[in-house]
Amino acid sequence: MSTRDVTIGGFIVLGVVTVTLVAASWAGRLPRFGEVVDLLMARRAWRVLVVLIWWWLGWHFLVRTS
Amino acid sequence: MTADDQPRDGTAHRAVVLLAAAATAAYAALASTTGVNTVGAVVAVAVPGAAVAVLTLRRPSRTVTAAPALRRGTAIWAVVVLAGLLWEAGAYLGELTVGQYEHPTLSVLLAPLLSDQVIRFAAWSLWLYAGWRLIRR
Repeated sequence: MSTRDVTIGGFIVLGVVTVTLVAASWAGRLPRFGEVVDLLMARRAWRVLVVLIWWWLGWHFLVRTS
Repeated sequence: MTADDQPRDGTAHRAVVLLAAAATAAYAALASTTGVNTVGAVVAVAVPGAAVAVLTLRRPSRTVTAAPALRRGTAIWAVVVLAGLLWEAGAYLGELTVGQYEHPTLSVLLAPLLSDQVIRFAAWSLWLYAGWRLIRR
């Protein structure tokens, strides 16, 4: 197994885990991602982090793709 | 406020949401025409980024009592988000030191998909919508 396979495999595992968590939240076994963001947005320090991550996603995927 | 004002408020709220949706779609359509690694794309991300930062960060902190289930769920989501960010960062470092083929980042893997105009528009719309939701939280 090459390092490329391991890297891509990691993204696939993370994707499967995310889909599993979304399914669990729809079934009511876990808070929805939106509820978690709501909680984090209540405190200014966490809000800075959430906005930074959102901004970075835009910059990383829409401005530069490397 | 009288009972007569309530439907008017509802209509006004719907109008604001529709206007925001139209503006978001128009902005996404414009932004999706910018190429990667261009000044236009940097500006297109910087403008909503600055707007969301100003509108969200000027709000004072709120006191929220989180139920244990919400706290546990937050920890679980945080671990997954952190793992994703670290994996992407690791791939990026590998890309710089070893090579892009051996350590592709998620953005490199998605680049062919994001070069499609329709998908790029959808990605811009999704990102702008997420920013809009952050302002409203």
